[in-house]
Amino acid sequence: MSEPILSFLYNHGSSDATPYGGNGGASAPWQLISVTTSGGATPDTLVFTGGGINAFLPTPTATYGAREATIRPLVDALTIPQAYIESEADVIMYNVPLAGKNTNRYVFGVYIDGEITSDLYLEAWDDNSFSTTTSPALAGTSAYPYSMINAIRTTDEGADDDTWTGATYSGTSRSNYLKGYDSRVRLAGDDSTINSTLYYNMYVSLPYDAALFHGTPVISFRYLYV
Amino acid sequence: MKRRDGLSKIRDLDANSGSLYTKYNTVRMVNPYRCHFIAVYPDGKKTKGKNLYDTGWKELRDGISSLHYRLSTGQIINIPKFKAYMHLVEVSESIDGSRLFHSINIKGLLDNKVINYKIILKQDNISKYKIGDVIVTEDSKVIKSSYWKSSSF
Repeated sequence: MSEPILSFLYNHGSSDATPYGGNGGASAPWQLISVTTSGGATPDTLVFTGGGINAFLPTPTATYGAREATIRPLVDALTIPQAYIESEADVIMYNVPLAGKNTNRYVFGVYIDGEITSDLYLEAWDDNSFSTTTSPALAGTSAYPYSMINAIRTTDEGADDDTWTGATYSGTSRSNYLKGYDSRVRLAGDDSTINSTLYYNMYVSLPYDAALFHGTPVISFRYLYV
Repeated sequence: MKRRDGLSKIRDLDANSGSLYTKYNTVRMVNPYRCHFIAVYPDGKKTKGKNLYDTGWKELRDGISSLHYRLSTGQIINIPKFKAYMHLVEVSESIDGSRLFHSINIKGLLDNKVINYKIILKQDNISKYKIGDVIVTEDSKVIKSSYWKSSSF
C-alpha cells in the first residue's frame, strides 16, 4: 500500500509531558478525531468557544452543541479561550485543555501510518474544495488583514513563550496565520516522514473590528506520496 | 490501520469522475480508482499501475523504455524520455476526512536538473487548469530517494 493513512488526534489530558504513544488509534490521554466514512458517520467538529458572558464552558466535557458566544473586544484582538472536539458519536464535547496561545507542545497531533514524501502542510480553507479563502475567519478585517486562525508547529518543541502569533515566529516558519496555500505551517520541517506523529498547537483570535459572521472553515493537510 | 477513501462528499462518482459541490466552488475530480501509470520496457512488455491509493510505483522495476499515464477520463499523458523517473501524488485531506486529489507529479531526471510534469486531476470554477492539463516546471533540487526508477535511455 503506497498511500499513507493519517490519524488526527488531540490531547484530552492536562499534562503537556505526554507524547502520543499509539499507532493511529486512541491512546490515553490522546483521543482520535472521528472523520467522515463511506458508511455515513458524521465527523467530529473542532470548536473554539468562550470569552462570553459566562466566560467558559465546563471542562473536561461540555454538553453537546453548547457554545459560549465570544464577545468582540473593544480594542485589539481577543484570543478565544477554549477548544473542544465535538463528538457526534458520543454526543458530547471534549475539551482540549492544552490548546491556545501558550508554550504547550503535545496539543494536537497527526499520526502518519506509512510514508509521506514531502512535508505535511497544515492549511485552512473555506471548505473541502480547498480552493478559496474568502470567508471572514480567513480573510481577516481592515485592522487585522490576515486569518484569525493562528497555528504553530510543535513537533520538535513548544513555542518559546506565550506571545506567539501566526506571524513568522522567531525568524523561522514554525508559525503562521492559516490561509490557504500561501500561508500555512510545515508540520515536519523535513522532506519525508515515516510512521511518526507530528504535533501542532493553534488558537483563534477575534479582532475588535470583526463583523458578526458565521463561517466553518476547514483545517486540512496537504502532502505527497509515492 | 484501515484505509478510508475520503470520497463520501463526492457526488455522482462514475467511471470517469465525480463532483464536489460547496458554498464557494464546484469541483470535478477524476475517479482515483481508475487512474494509473503504464511503464513500457524495451522488450515491449508493459507494467500497469493500480490506482491513486495503491499506485504500485514502489514495486515497479527499473529499465523503463517509456512512461505514460491513463486518467479515468480516458486521457493518456505521455511523459518524455528521461534518465530516471519518480512519481508523486498530491492530495489534501481535511480534518473531517474529506479528500481531494490535486495532481500526479512525475519528476524526470536529466544530467543536472529535474523537470517536473504536474498532471492536473481536478478542475473547478476558479482555477484555469482542467483535468489532464500538464504543467511543466524545472525543479531547483534533485530529491534523494530510493523511488527513482531508471530508464533504458
